[in-house]
Amino acid sequence: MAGEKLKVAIFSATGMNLAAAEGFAKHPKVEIVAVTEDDGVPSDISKEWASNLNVPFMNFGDVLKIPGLQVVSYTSDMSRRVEIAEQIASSGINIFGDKPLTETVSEGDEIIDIVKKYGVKMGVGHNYRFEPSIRDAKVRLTNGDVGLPWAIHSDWIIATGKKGAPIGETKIHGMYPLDAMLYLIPEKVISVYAIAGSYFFDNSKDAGVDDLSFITMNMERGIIATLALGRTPHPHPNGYGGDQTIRIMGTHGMLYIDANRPSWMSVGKSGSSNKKYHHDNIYHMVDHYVNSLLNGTDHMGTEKDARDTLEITLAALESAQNNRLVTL
Amino acid sequence: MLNVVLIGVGAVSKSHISAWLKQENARVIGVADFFADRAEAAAKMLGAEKWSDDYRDLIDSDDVDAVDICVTEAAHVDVATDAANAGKHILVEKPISTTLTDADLIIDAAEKNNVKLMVAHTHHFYDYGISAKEIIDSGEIGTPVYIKHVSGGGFWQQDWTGTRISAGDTGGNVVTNGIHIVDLTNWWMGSDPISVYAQALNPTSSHMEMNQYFVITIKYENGGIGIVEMSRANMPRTNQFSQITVLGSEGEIRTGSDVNSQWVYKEDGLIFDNGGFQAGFDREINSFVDAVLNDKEPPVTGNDSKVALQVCLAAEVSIKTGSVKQIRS
Repeated sequence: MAGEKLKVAIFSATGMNLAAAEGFAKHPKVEIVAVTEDDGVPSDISKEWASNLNVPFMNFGDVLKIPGLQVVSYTSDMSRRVEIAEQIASSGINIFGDKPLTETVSEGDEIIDIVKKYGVKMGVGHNYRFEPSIRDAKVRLTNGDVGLPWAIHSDWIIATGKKGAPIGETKIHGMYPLDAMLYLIPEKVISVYAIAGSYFFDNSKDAGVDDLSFITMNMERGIIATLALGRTPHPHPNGYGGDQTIRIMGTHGMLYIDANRPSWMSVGKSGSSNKKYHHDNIYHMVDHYVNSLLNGTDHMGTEKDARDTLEITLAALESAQNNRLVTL
Repeated sequence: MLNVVLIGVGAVSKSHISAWLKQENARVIGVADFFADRAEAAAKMLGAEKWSDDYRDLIDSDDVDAVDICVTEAAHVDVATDAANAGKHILVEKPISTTLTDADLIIDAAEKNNVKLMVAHTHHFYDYGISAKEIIDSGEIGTPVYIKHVSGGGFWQQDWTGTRISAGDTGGNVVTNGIHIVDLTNWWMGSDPISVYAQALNPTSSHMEMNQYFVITIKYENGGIGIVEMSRANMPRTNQFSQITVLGSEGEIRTGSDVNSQWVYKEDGLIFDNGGFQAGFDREINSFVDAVLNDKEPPVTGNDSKVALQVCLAAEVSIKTGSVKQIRS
């Protein structure tokens, strides 16, 4: 409805949910009404958030009783993902969730059932499908600019890391490019093969998790898909924050996306860097979700999309462990 | 002076001939080809006095020191073993052979007869191949752990009936072309491959027996990852997209289409070029001559090529079976 604002509460303004919260906070059709956390004890960042937005920090249970609350944007410990989603959904409130969706595929299925049962809408923070260059590429593919795609390849390797992700790079970051790839070519992944290891960071080695992986997939219609994923300690030669590319081969052409561009290649007092512009994918993601709620339209980047990328990610890790193809 | 017989004057021999003509310490004194007129034409171009439609007429002569074998892949074994048994040093085009059994026969014959055996993996000798190896060996990027080599080429014409469509003669596209990059990746990685998973497609010339497009994923003994993606299915045909990334434990190197020294916008598309194609052949022939005259180990041995062949044959099996092929435990 014209002039209506969506009432949103932020559950734990940390991690990627902080980025989503920032997107909600600057959206003209959103009103942040409260900040909350799992145990009711505010962290410094949540207190700061509540203070800056001039909204109360409240216990979670009280937040769910706020009249007219329409969305809770949340992140939590992985073990609490399903439980919190159910608490939100059972109150008739829509969910915006952090990635990964859950720890396991069966938990992901539970969330899908919860969302269906309570008739709410869930968006998941897979922001790269909302990157302008990727949205543009989707239009090109739909228009048939490169014909029928027969291969899709992504390089997604973060540069200048200080340490590896505690749960491994594949698990924490794989869904970003995977989700974007499946958005661009919405075909089912049939099987997965991967090699993964800890090549760069001592903490990754100590934890027995990967900081680099190569995942190759067989999709329906015979499409080959690959993803190089990881984090390196050294800078990218182009001054990028890392590789964020997707290349699609089609029967009538090739499409190459570099999400680090358009950019200015910059040299200044602070050294050389790549300064992206035309880029704010997190805001576009939030905007898409907000408008779908306000207008009652379908949305993308759902719990089902997130469940699919989780399944592929876990299959890749299983494949890497056993050095064999995993069929989904 | 090294006296050489060139055997086979098909497509690749043109680059060999050009390289032999530049040699100061070697000369081609005879040329053999299944087609006598082709052999004669090449011999005249090289200033060679002898030519024949049967290589066996030429290789037994005492004044011949070495052979350069440019015949069809599946014929390498017969020519190379005959040359070895005649006591001639051998430069043989890649792949060393189309089967591991044949590769062993060639390697054993060379060892038994105490002759040099070098396999012509040209990418070893291109500027980009050498310069990457120099950076890796300098320790600048630490230990290489990930190599991704993407090389693209335009699609094969629908009516093309060159020998490459016959997997029986060449071993298939993975074996005859992919082996270039597999060998290079092995060389740069500096470790033995232990398993291979490969996928392939034939998207724009589906009537052909051979895969136009493939992705080979290699796991190395040191834990390293090698990816070889090669396309002869790109649309438009002028699309020669390439991208090479080597990640090391302490740094990385990259090159590709966007850093080529020449971009040519033609009516039918964009062409990238760095020049230096012939230079690879020139260095390759130089290295062979140097190895023979100075009794050195050739820079690409029979065993190097056999390991690359092993990966390519494993890739073909993986493509057919859809499973990971273990090469060694």
